Amino acid sequence: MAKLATFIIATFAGGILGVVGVFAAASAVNPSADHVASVSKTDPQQGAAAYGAR
Amino acid sequence: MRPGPVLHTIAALVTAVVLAPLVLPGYVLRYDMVFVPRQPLNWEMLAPADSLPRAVPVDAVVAAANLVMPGWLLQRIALVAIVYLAALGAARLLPTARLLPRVVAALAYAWTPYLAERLLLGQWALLLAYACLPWLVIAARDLRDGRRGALPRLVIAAAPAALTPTGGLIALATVAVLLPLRRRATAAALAAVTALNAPWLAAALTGPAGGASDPEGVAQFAARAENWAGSWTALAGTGGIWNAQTVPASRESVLVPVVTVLLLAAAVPGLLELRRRWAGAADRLFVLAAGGFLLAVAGVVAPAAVLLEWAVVHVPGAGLLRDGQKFLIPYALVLALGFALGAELLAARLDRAVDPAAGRVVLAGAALLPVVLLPDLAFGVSGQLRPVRYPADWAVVAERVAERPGEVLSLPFEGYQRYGWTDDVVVRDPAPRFLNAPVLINDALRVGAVTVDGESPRAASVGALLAAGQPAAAAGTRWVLVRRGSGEPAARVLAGLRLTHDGTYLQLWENPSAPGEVRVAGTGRRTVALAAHVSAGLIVTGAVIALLLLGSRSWYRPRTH
Repeated sequence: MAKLATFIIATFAGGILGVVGVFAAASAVNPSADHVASVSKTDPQQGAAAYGAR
Repeated sequence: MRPGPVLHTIAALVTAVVLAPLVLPGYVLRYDMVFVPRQPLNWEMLAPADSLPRAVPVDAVVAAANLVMPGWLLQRIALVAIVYLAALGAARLLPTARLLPRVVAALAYAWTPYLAERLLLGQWALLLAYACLPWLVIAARDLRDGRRGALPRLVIAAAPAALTPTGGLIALATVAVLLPLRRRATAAALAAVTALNAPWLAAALTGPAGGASDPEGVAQFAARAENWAGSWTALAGTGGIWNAQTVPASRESVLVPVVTVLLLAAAVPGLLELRRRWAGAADRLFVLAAGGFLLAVAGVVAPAAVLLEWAVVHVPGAGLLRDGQKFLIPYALVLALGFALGAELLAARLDRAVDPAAGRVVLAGAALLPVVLLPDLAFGVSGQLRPVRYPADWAVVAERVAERPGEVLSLPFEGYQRYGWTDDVVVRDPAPRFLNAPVLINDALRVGAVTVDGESPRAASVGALLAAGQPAAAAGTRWVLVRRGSGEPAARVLAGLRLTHDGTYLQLWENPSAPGEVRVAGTGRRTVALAAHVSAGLIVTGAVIALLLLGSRSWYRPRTH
């Protein structure tokens, strides 16, 4: 019983770790993801001189 | 296993993962984060002639540090220190004998939406206050307990926090709340931290900018909802910054509020346990955290927002409170400690009921939960903290201005702008830090379609002059710098000026009719500013010497409390 619980929890935690690793690696090496991250919030209506947007 | 090396390794790993893109050459330029190759040390850094001292004394400290190291290196040291000290400080502060809960605390404090959002807004000096808070709390507790060397350590922990007005106030409030009244040590600590705040206080009290701000700023800089759960939940998870453009994409996930509630649920029993382990002291820390949280929500609660709007107009300096989310720092620390202790309690139960290994797995999962909640903090917030290079035009213009010193008007008359060479990232005009001369920039802030007025009367008058269609020469500055890209001034604005540098990214125009004198603060004001900076510097130096003489190393020994 104890071993089964340990296995289940370890699988869960390992799965989380794996997903995070894949996500982080993908964002680091994928240039298109980089591009989206830097331009997706740009609103052409605001012009180039806005401090931010709500 | 010895906890010290493990915690340093964890802090180093977290730092490396968060700041990985900084191995590339160049400068990370984002919003308020502007490092330049060599920032000049002049009176404008100590006592701005026209504007509010928002960057006092950080500008002077950066300029002084630039005397011995280049800006790119200084930026990396500052950013690495933030993440590293935050992780290590939270781990060391946690009152536990176990190692893994300390790791949980390290990640829960160094991997937060607060840190990510303020990094994206470029507020690195405020984040120094974030990183220093655990160390300040440790030192304050040591001072309460009468431990040797506690006061110098408290001063050293408060000094980086006091590089900005907001951080300085947080440090002062921390000392005032955590230490008992009517004790000589408390009075000494309060006096020292007040003196650390003296540079910006002196510059503000003697400056021409006044202390009133535009009440419009309260609504514009109030906390903001990041997903379906509203601004309160965003703040409860240490997010909720006002600027939608500096929020990591993962904060918009529908699952974020659910995981936030899970984190809070785990933190509640942990906070009760914290009260038990820190009898008396924990309550004071909770008061500090609650105060910070109330300031953060003030902008989104109608009666409090009205009160804030009144205060920023009528109470000098109250404009500091309008971006209330930045005061979440003590709350973020308390949440991290509570979550780590909550996880430890759960792990202890599982140890007894199931298997010792099960408890360790739970703690490992708890350590990873902040990462799961905010995966895109990794690798410079998914590549958004990416170094860029200054175009060579900047060095040329700086040289020309240095040859014939005089005031500079920077156009387009906008304090913040996107440039092609910054990869279209918004950044504050680098001219005031790049050029060794007073630079007149617009301190009004555009938030979407709304303009929040600035505080500098001179910037306001020049803005009005330009809006009325007058030529820039009428502003009376010796130099007019044109940052090319978008919003460049029309030819009539530059009428009467002589072009001295025409680069791809910058143009420098000279005003032949302008006086050559450099506008600086008056002698009295400069004396006060210099005295305040020197006294703050002496206090920090004294604290370092005292610590060395005492040979106190208790910061470096693992403590189990």
